[in-house]
Amino acid sequence: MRILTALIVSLALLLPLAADAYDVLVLQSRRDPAFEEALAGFRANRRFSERVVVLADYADVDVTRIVREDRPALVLALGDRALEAARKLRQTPVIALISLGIHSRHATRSNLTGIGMFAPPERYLSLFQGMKKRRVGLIYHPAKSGWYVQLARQAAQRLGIELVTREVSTPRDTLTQLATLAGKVDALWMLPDATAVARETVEAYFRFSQEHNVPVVSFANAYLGLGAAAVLEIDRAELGRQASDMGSAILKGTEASDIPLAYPRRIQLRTNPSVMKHLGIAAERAALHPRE
Amino acid sequence: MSLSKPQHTISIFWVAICLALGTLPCLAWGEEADETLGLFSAWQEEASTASRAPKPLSQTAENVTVVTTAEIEALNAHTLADVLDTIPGIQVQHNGGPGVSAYTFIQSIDFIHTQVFVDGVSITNLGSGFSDTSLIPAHIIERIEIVKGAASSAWGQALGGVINVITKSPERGRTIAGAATASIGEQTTADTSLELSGTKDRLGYYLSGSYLGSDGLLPNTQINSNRAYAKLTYDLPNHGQIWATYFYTRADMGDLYAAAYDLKEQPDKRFQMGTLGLRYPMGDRLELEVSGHHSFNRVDNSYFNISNGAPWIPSLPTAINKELVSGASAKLVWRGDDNLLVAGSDYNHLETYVNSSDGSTVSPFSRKVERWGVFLNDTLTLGSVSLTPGVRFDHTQTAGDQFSPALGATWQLTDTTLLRAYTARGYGLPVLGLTDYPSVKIWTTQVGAESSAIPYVWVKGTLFRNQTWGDTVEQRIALGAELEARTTPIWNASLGAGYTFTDTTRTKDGSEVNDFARHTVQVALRYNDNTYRGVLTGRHVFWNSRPDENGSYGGLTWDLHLGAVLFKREQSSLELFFSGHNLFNASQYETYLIPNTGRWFEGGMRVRF
Repeated sequence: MRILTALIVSLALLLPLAADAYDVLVLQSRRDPAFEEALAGFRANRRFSERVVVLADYADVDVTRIVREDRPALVLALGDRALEAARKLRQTPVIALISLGIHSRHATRSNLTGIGMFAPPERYLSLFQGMKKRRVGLIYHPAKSGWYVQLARQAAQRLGIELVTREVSTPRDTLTQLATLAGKVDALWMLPDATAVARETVEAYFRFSQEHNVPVVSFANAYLGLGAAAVLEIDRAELGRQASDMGSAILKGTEASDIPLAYPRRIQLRTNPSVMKHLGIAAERAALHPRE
Repeated sequence: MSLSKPQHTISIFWVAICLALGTLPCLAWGEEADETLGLFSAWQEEASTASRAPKPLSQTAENVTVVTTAEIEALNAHTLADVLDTIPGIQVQHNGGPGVSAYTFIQSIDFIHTQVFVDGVSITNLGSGFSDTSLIPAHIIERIEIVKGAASSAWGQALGGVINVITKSPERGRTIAGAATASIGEQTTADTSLELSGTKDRLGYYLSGSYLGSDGLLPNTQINSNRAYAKLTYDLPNHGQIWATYFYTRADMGDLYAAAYDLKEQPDKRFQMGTLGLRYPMGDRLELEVSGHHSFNRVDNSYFNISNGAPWIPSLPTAINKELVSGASAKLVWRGDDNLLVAGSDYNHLETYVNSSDGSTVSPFSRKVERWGVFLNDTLTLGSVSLTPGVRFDHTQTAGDQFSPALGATWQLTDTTLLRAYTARGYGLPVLGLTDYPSVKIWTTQVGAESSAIPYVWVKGTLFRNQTWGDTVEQRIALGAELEARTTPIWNASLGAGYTFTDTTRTKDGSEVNDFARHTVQVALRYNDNTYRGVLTGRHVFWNSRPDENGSYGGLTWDLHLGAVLFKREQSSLELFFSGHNLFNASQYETYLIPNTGRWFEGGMRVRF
């Protein structure tokens, strides 16, 4: 008891001395296996000295002050809240992961780079081609995913696929816009757009799929269980490894502004055979081996 | 004993709760969320392992409660028993302060039918059927999953329900991390612990050593207890894992002070448990899990006269009970597109040895028993409906073969409302002694719903019917209802309440059965702003004991747990905490022989690094 009490007091006294200089300030929105997986990938190939701040553990975090005092070479922001917390940083390079907000912020922030949460549109379109689907429905919020839909349109033209797009400005619009796609599409393409796909509307995609016998292709494994025919799943550990390559480049002197926003390097196709079978899609046609 | 007082108090509190809940919508606002994470996980909610494999709670037909590390830490809990005190539908009878024997009842079913597992291994004493929840230190717990009602189709002998304790995993991403905690309270009630945890490449470790001691908050409830826990994990490629755990506890305590009989009891408890396991994915959908375990349980019970300290029975200095359990479990988990299939088997070799310290007073006897069971549980999801059929066959050797079927269903009625129904047959085994008795059987039926349709409030209600018969039990029926409510945090504060009503009667004449709690009330007010935290809990158990037990259970027992983080960096912190127990000195006990502790205070500090 006395020994342990002495140990606790010693540790308490030593705590303020525990801060060291480091390369990377890791801002993590909250404790979550998805972030941990990406962080493990970030640490896998290189040994950066780092400090980790989990924002959810604090009522308020003054990131600007931490950066001013600790002077890390770069900031790794994991999640939306972390990216938001790093918004006031103008000089220190920021690499953002697992945040959809990166696309809207990147244009105005020269010190921000990172990896998006969208797979290249060609990957999805090849999949639709393999499924023999020519008319693909797509619902999106222009401010959030307009840039991506524009790229998708160009790629779709090249591949002879017609994109039937519908714009939404609130999650509720999704139900109305989905209804307008009835009979006009052979497949639905679900984008990682938090307005087009929301907790209260996600079921509607799969109801539409069942009612109109069209496959839904989505962006995360979790949707396979809900009724998606196929998904292009982003490998989170590889996201971390990709970010560590960016980090190494920055530590060697490359400016963040010279490192473009990247697509995830490793994306895996996963299918739901029973949904495929139900929809009469030959699995072998869909199983296009992605280039990773 | 007057019945008006507790009922009056309960009424007042329910009115207060309803008023509080009614004012919430005026004050509440939403919590910040990580939009991207939710989108990519399809807002998957909490999971449970009620059917021996993790699945979303929305597909779990059983009445399940999950307790997390954060909730445990907020209670400044010493042991598992302290946490269970706050769970709706659970009644805990403490023989003293922290660490002293605690008897756990689930929905008023006899404590010998409550199965407690630590990392999937039972800690139940074969000779008494008693699972001492005060033996498990709270600081090693990562998560508690409680199945209320028979769970034999998955777990075997689990007539009353299952409390599955999942211990902490190694800290990811750090080579060394940990926490040192020390607290001191009245009667030198001290709880100190040191935890170390970390991961290096594929190897992870979690180590914990602790001491819990007290001079006794009641006469003859002193305790000296040492506990050690270790977990090693090795991550295999392809998301597989090998793990090994070791748990040791020794508790020398006073347990009973019956002045009317000039008797005090002093048990010396030793429990050790080791496990070794492998989880190995066999492709995208199939996973194999095999594990072996060995446990040693020894209790030396000594009985003395209070008046002169001499042995209570001169010829019986100490009764010794030694038990060894060696076993293995294997299960295959198939995650199909719309079904989760779990097939598995459990095997246990049990040895019990009873003697007295002089080797002659109690006729020594020993038993060796082989038990095995095979089970199959499925969760079939059809749109918004999930069906969960399950079946298990057990060979018990001492109480015949047991067949335990179960059928459950959940229906996600709307985005905010879920309906549940579950019916199952379960069994409980009598204690392992020289003579074999038949098993006790139960048929449980439960229907319920949970909803967050009312803004800022989550409500869950369950109706249950338990028919019990067999062994020496008079056939009886328990009809009951359980209601839980929680609010979303408002200015970092939230309110929770639970009420369980159980009416237990004999089927032959409809007469009431005593000694089964009739009303259980739990209320909690929580505050946490990541710097300061506080939990005020109140609980009332109307034990409904026989008049000759002279029980006393008026009003609520209020506890206050506070904490403040004085210094915090991202990987280290200094925290002070304080607890006031039974603030108003309420009486809350089933029998006059085992009164509850009065008001007492403690405080301590924790350093995380």
